[in-house]
Amino acid sequence: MKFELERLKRGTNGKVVRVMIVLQLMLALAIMLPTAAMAEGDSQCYSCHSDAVTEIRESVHHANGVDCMDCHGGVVLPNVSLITRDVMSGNFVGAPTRTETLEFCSKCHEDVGDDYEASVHRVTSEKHDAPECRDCHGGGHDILSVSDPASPTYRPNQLEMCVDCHDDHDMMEKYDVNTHVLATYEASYHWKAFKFGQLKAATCLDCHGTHAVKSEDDETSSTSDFNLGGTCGKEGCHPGVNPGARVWMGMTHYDQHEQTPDLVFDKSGLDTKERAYYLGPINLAFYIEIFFILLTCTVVIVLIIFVLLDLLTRIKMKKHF
Amino acid sequence: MSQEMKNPDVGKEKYFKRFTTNQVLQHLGIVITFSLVVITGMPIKYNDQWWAPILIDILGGYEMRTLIHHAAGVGMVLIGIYHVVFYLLIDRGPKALVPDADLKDLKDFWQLMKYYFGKAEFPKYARYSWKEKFDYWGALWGMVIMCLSGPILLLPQLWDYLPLSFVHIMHIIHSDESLLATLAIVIWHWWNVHYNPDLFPMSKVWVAGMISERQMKAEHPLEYEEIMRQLEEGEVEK
Repeated sequence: MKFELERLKRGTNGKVVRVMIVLQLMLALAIMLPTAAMAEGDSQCYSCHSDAVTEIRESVHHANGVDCMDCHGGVVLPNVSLITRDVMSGNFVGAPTRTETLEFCSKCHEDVGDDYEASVHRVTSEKHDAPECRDCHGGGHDILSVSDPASPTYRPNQLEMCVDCHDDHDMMEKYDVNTHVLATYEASYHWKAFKFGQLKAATCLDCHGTHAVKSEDDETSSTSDFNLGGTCGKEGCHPGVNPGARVWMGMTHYDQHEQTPDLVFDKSGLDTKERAYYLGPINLAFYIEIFFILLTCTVVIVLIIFVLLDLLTRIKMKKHF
Repeated sequence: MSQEMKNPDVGKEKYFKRFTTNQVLQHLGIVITFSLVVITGMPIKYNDQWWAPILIDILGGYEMRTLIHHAAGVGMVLIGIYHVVFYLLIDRGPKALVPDADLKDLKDFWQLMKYYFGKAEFPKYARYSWKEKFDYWGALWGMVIMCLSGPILLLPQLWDYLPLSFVHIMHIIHSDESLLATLAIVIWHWWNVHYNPDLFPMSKVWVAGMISERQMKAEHPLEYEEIMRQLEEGEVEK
């Protein structure tokens, strides 16, 4: 460089100009080459969609080599220009609508897509706020692996993911789904074990399935009367329970507060699950609880009275031995 | 001065054998297993309380808690079976641990009530007072309930034959009876053998199997008289 500068000082001539052009070209190539090499990734998108690209670079998709065009489509242009709108042409789709997401994700996740398509969660025009892929897996670009603690699908976060909707009375009312699932789950042994760190204890997805969540009225559902025994008896859960076990005779989401003192002589209005709690017209679960409350209160009060009488007598009189 | 105050009987206190080593060991086994199941079970029943996670931590984590609860529970069932089998098949003698209730207990109960209000003498008990009989049958009731409901919750193999509603009902019973049993032991049994001023800090009968002559005379005078009569007649060795 020093040599050229000395030449420049001496005066402008053709040779110097040629050297300058060569140098500029070399400089331009040095800048452009690495960019050209990355152009097939997401760098073309970055200059405009920096937020989205930043998110996706931290996602499980980027870690597995998935880039913008794998999902959004569009054309990969051979030129190396940094700013172009041409990429967003051809089969390019921007933000998918709630009904389009399935198609978007099924391009790669074919099996999962099929499961979801058959599930009760599938978004249709009537069920617009049913969950689509992004509702459970994160916003879209920042989808994380199920083993990432920050992911909503990470095992300890799954309950929160489900009750986000299932505890929403207004939303559930529209689809005639009850909202006692959270309270009854939290009253169950499964949750008590789970919250104290035994993460192998059942949480929502273990029984209801992940993508193939179905109504218990659906015979192919993991929670239907036909399959419930097998679901409880899964490897790693309760392997002693056989598919034919009578676990369908009773409420899996059991609510003590729903048990009533009413004597029911005509049980035709009750389904099998409710009927299983009755002995004749008596709701056993309710009356046994009442029996124990009365028994415990009576016994404890009587015993305390005795202890007090004993104490008072011993204070009044001296020790008797 | 101090020598005059001294009890002349000190050092000469006679002791009577109240429980055999077998009986003392049965009680000791129940003390250990019962304490363990209560300590490991209550943090589940009261899982929302501030002390629940602390207690589980002390116990060595949730899985250890479960393991201890199950092991102690199985131990309790085995002791219960041993107790019943031993009584039915081996020793049903008058010194057996199993007391039968009779009309005298009702009379004693009533006399004790009158005694509390200063209207009667302290009742004269035989080998077992009505309080001890109540303790025994109360514990047996608890044992039967817990040892039946526990295995149903523990062994899902049984669910092939039981409807889920039955398992839920066993869950309720297991949980409710645990509280009743714990309160009965802490309030009633511990008052009778620990806190009460005659025995504080505790009666040592459960460890040694021996009861002092003074306590024998005061609490089981009928049995005392019977033993003395038999001794005089040379029927039994002391």
